Amino acid sequence: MPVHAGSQAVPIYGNYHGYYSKRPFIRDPRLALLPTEFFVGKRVLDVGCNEGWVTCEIGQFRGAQQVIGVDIDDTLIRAAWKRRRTVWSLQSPESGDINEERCPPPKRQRLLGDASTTDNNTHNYFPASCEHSYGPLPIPGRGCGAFPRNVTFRTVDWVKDEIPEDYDQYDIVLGFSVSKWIHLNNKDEGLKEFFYRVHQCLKMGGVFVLEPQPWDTYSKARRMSETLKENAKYLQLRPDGFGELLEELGFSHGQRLGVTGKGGFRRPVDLYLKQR
Amino acid sequence: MASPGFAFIPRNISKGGKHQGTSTHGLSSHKSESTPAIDRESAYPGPSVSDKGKWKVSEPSAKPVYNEKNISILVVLAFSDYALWLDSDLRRKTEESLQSEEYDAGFLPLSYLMRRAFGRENLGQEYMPTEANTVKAIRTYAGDVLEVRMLVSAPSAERSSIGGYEVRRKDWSTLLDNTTREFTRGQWDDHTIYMENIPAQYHTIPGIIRFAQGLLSRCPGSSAPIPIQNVTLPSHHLDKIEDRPKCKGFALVTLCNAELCQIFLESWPWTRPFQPAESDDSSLAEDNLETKEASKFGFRTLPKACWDRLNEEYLAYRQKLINELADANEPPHISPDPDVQDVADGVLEDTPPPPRNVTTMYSPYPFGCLVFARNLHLETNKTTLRALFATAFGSSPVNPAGIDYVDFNKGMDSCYLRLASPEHGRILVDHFSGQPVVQSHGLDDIGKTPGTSQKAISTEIIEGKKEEVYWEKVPEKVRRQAVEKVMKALNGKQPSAPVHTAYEHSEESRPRKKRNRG
Repeated sequence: MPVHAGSQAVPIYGNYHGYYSKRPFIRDPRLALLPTEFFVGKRVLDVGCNEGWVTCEIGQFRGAQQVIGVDIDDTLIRAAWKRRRTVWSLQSPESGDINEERCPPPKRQRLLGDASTTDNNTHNYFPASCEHSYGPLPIPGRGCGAFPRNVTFRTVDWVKDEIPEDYDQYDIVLGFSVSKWIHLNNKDEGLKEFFYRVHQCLKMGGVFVLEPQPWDTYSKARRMSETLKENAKYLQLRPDGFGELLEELGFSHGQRLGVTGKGGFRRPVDLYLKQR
Repeated sequence: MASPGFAFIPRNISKGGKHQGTSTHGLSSHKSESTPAIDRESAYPGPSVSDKGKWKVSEPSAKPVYNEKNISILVVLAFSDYALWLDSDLRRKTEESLQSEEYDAGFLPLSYLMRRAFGRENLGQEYMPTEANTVKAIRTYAGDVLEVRMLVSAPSAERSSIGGYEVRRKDWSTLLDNTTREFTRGQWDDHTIYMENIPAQYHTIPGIIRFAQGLLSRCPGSSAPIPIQNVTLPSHHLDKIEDRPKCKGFALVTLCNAELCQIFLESWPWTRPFQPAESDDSSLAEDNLETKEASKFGFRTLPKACWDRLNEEYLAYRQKLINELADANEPPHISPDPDVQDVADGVLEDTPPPPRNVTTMYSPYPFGCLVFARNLHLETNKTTLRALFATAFGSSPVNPAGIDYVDFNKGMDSCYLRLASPEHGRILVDHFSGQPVVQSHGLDDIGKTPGTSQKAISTEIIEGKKEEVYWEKVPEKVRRQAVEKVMKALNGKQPSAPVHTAYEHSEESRPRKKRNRG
């Protein structure tokens, strides 16, 4: 059950702690594969969001209407809320009231399109020491399409359990570097169940963006625990076969957007459209 | 769960033991006597105990690593020009020593300097470097800056050191002429830059210095004897005075001259165009390790004066947001026109109270669910209070499990109550004003009619700005859970009975001292 996930010494769900602090983050390379307008106005689910760095980037910079990050590990979800608060506390003030000298760029410009000027001007405006020394910036109550209110997190094993947001369905579901863990912990049936859930929760015409870990990376992961080792023996599905499964469920043929990552982290990013 | 072989360290003993200090922080509070046994255990390298007492395999980077290089760095720092400027005791002793004959001029006991170098690290005795370690470290790494000798003459009253070593600045003969002696705070600030996104492996004071020196090593004109004069780690807003600040990737670094500042500010500017993560710039191949790591982590610098301005802007903006939130939550103020007082009074009596804010899933906290209670028995406890206040719901139609959380500190005579819904709050306040009680003893969870001299327990719903300020201090996750609970109640579903989760025990109504790393 997820409630114990965080107290595992070994991250058998791929629930690595300190994942992002070791891999410094400017812009997520997977998101960079997606067109600028991709998330604008959309409802997005980020499965296996860890500490919410990608989730926050989507909410802050990609114009999403609402982004929900879910993870099985409550410690990570708590860190994700904190991350949201930190990102907000680094962001420049919205209006020109405070700093009359500088006219802030219009909100649209904060989209990734003009990265050269927006980076560090908007999202790393304040020194990180400010939140540390004075406490975080309060989050205004106004506007639910705006960051940070458009980003929320939940602790849940989304393969097995529902969240209220599922009922309204999503435009986009992201599965970044999560399929291996779902597969190893829940076997073929569990993975199929996950894909089924994704399909159910997507609106017609919605998209599933999957970044599956390749099969040869499963061997190291399954050595993490006896359960994973045991489960691995029964796996018949392979990442190369995920596309076929998804097509059977009602998705289009997968479109490869690109491959990102280095060395052992080299993974494809594929897009599936729900057509029926 | 716990790694075998490590003793369990209860949370409150390990408090305060893990922090790195600044080189000049808290000089007035530094201890020269040996640190107590408590600190010895907390310095034991091993799994760190997080806020909730859960075991987490800790990385060594947060602990001071006292290899010789780091020892030498800390000792040099303790004897820097900045240290001499700031620390009047050090300055006085040095000046007195400089009155001696050339052979002895400028020497101070090594043990004295070591206390300054390591005293703020809060280690137990067995983890303090010995004088022998330190001498070796200085001779290996700081021989161009410091001179060490063994004390051979009879110890004087001043030089009653145990190990018998003394140390002085190699440039001792010019120390008294040093321009920095007359510096103002502003002049030191002009030599100070704010650094951010320091790579994770350098998150200690010696680490920051090694990192900065590494970045400077390829620059001409960076051969000053003590290029880095001071490192200050900003305190956390919840730190107490005696806490040692922990490095979170940023620091204020004072350099020995303006030229070095410029090197940093130009090479690692505050704002720069975004570079893709996977750039294969061939010039990187020539860079040293520190430069590569700096690029990778997005290292950047800012003059302290600019940093000060941004801090001010942050505070002003923060206040603006607080005011906006408070204004949004205040019910509209109705001030009757004095000329029509009589009419207004009549009207107001009939007018329903101004609509209270309705909690939605986007609310920052649940509105109208906070009650403040006072005149409690000084020896009471949370369990008793929970039962006592729940008596308000006994004969009402609401769910009896109406108290979400009792925010109480032992020894206080007041507490806050977080209720499951605004209706619970109103029922509770009505109940205790209609039936005043006192607790006859600490465990009285029913209450007795107050005697003539006794103050009845009073309760009031906290709203508006006070309510907002209270919830601001509550961890975000808990706030959200409270909102969700109230949403369920408002939507007609029964809130579940309050589970005594880990939050009841780990979330303190006073600010937490320990914070999760990373």
